[in-house]
Amino acid sequence: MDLGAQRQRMIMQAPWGVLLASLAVSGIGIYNLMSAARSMWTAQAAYIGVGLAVLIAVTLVDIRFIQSAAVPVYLLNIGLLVLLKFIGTKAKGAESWLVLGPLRVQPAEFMKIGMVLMMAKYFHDDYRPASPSYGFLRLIPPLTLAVVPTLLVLVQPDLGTALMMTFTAVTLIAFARVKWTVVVAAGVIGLLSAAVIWNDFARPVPEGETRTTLVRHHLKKHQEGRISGWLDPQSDLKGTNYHSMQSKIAVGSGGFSGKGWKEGTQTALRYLPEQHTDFIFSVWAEEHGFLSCLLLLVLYGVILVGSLGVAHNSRDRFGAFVAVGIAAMLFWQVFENIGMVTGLLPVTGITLPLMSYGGSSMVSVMLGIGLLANISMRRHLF
Amino acid sequence: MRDLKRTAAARVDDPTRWVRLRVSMVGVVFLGLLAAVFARAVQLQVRERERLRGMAQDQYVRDVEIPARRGDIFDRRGVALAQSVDVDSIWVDPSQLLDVKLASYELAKKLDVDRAELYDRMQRAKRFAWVKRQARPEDVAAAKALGWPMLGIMREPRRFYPQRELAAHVIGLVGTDGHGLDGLELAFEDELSGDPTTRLGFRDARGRKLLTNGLEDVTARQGAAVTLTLDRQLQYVTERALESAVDGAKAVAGMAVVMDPKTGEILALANAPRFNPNAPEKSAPGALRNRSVTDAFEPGSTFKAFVVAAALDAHAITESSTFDCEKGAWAIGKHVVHDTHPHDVLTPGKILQVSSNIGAAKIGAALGREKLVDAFSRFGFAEKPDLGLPGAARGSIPFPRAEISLATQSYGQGLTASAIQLAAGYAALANGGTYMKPYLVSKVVDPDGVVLLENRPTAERRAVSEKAAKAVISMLESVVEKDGTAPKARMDEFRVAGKTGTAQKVDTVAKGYSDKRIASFIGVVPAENPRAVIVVIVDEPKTDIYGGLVAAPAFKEIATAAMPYLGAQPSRAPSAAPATVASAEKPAPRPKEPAAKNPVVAAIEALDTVTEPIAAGVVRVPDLKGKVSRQAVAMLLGASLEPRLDGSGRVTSQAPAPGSLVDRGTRVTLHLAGNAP
Repeated sequence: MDLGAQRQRMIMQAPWGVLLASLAVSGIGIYNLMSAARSMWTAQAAYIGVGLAVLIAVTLVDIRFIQSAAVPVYLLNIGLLVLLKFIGTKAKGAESWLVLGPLRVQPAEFMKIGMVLMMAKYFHDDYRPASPSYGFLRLIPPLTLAVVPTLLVLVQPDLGTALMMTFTAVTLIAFARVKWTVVVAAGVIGLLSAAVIWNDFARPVPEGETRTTLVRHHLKKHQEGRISGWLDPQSDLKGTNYHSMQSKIAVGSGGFSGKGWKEGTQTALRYLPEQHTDFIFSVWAEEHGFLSCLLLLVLYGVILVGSLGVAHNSRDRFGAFVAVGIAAMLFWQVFENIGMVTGLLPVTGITLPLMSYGGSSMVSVMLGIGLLANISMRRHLF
Repeated sequence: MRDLKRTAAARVDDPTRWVRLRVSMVGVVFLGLLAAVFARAVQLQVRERERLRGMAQDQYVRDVEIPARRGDIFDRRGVALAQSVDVDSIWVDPSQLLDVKLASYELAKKLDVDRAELYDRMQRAKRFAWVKRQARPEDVAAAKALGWPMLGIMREPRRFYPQRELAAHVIGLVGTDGHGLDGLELAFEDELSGDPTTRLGFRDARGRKLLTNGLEDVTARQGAAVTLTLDRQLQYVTERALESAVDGAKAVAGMAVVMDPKTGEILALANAPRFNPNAPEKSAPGALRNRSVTDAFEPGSTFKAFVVAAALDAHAITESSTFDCEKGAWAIGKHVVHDTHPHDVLTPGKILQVSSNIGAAKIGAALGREKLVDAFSRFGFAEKPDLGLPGAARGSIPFPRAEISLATQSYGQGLTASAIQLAAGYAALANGGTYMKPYLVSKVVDPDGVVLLENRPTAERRAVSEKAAKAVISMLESVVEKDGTAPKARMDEFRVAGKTGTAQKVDTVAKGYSDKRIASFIGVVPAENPRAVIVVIVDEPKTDIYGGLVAAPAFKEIATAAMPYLGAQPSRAPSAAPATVASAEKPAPRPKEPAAKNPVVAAIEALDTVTEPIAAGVVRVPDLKGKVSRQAVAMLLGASLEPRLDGSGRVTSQAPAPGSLVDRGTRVTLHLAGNAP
């Protein structure tokens, strides 16, 4: 097999569905930003350019090199997060930014990728054909690999990203095949948490009797407010539920066909403070309506199915785990963000991949897609 | 290489199939959750769309209230006395401040506002608090220099009085919030404030108001324009003359009214002390009171004219009846009525000329109680004058049961009246006995040219017969002659009929009359064809106490300026001064006052040349074609022309033609077409 034919084959095997859908969403993102933030779209276009360059660069690297680099990459990211605690720049109440000259980088965005690579490498190396299922003890190392970066992100504090990382890690662990006892234990923990939340927030309390709470009194006031606000969306519309309500109003008032590009009243009058980042979906929904939201969801669906397709056809465990991890990362981010914007989930700060304004977010997503392409393109190489 | 071999071996066995199964399972879960999100979008955008759209509109449309631009107040010739101008106000969004206390201190220092109050406002507000309303330009610059993103500047209308103190008592005041507090600003609050609009603006999340439509809609929201009967020039003369009279006599206060007796229009209404309505907080206490309208006092001898007129009208006396004036002292029961100078037998004319209390009391007695009180009420006393001004005094005329009350009421004590009532009463005498309803507001016109209120001369009732009125006016002409009480009111060119008054003030503490006086002079000029009734009242004069000395010169100042201005024909040629020697009883030699040197006249002339560059009394008609009604009306009023509108929309034609020279006050008819925008 000569090199030219090999290159041709590699290009043929690139996940074109994922790539084209990603480009389409990025384009929609720029068009949408022109309305939401007027002047930021040029910067966003530049970020997309940088992201595409990173994507192409990643596809050129041998996957085996990436695999062997997983440990240093993971440790470097952890190091950056720790560094952030000392020299981080505060914005919106969180120490999330690392300022390097003219660049402002959010290390948490890259930590996600580092965590996925590290866990994939661990599950690859830990493969035991004789006993493929993971019990409690065998789960301790991969859990540690997930918990350390998640905690570091959580204390920034960046609850949204930490939650997304938790869900991604859980998806990867589940994908690695766990013993049924673990599933049962997880189910029991889930049920118990639900019961605690119900007891602390939703249980009907007779008149004059104070609620006996288990966890609630340990929470800070704003955290408590988030949960109670989520459970009762009509309460405190000017305080805790302001974002949630304004976002729902924006999405709902868009209706079937939307108010028109740059015609969104919620957007133009800035009822939502983070409309160019976390609440970007509300802008799209308000101005372009239901059908366009459907189009966007279908594009995300294409990206998701394509990513899982890469995992499906992957030639090894590492590739499959990385592909599933990135698919999970993208999916949970989309789900959490749109769930938040439509009032399905509590409000936590999280960006919508490829749509939200922001360089770190854009580059990290493009990096993930580049890894997918890399795995897909080299699936038949030996 | 070891790795590769192992994976190559693993490709075909069970784990690979297992991986593929898992991938499919993950895919199913993910797509299922994505479908849940999709279902939520359906719920919001399809099923709840109407409710949420309503909520969106509620918050950005319904709450927006754009205050209308307050209407202007003009004098009778269209000179603006009160206007609205836009000024900047500074506000802050406290939710974006890290330390509200520190920020409020900083702002208070930079912008010169009260620190504690500002901190309080900023604490109470969530997203919007005023820092400084109607700020000065240097404050706005200081706020901008701070560069805080949470500080905002908003345009707000502020009331401005271009003529400053002029007619300030009549016009009144507005508060910071733009609502009338006093005077016409209060009385015509509804008309001036216009209708705030709620439909044309959007409100953004910080409560800022954003206009989305053009200017034409703004005009439709404006308040109505109020046009007064006052004349700026006469008002100016009157205020200056009154002020110098009050200052010269070291008096506490003064009032003056100029009225057109034929129409009832009030041409000038002045009070002393005055205040600047642009900075009312700096004025002395009491300076804001519109005394001419709100204060009722015992008028004194000026009332004798009404008594004589009523007695003549009722044929209780004739012009040649005679009354024994008892040599200056007449006992009624325990009381004794005094005259300032003893007299023997006098005719009614003489009684008025020398102002004999005893003579007036005898005429009152001849007329009788019922008829006297009845006549007073026909002259408009003890009846609230409807000028549209708040707090107008009614005055009171208690029925004179006792002999002594009948006597004192005949010379104006033991009853009260306001300066406006006195002017209106004398106007009835000057107008041949017909009482004209006094009025101050001639017209209220909304921005579309619709007349909301129009006052026209109204003959209210006949007070006395024409014969009686004319007889009294001619008797009053003797008052300004050398034997009368007010030779200082005599004019060279015009015949003056007038009456002095020197009333005792009631001592509210000791119950009884004090030694304080109210000196007054009321003049009708020209006597043969009256164009103006001028009332001058000086409260508590200290140097001289007599109306003939304190108030009459001010009357003459006003009349000297007013007569040529009103276009009155001189009664006689300005002959070489006809022996105007000072009266024997008050031997102050009257200094000759050449008109050119009179500071008031000079000031008017200066005003005239400054404000009206075109030949006196003539203006050029502006071209109004295509203008909206509101603009056209403003331009006409500004040019001292009277607008008359026909139709609505924009001006299509006008008469007289643009550019023609016409007299001031000429009516210009505008034809309008097309619906108002």
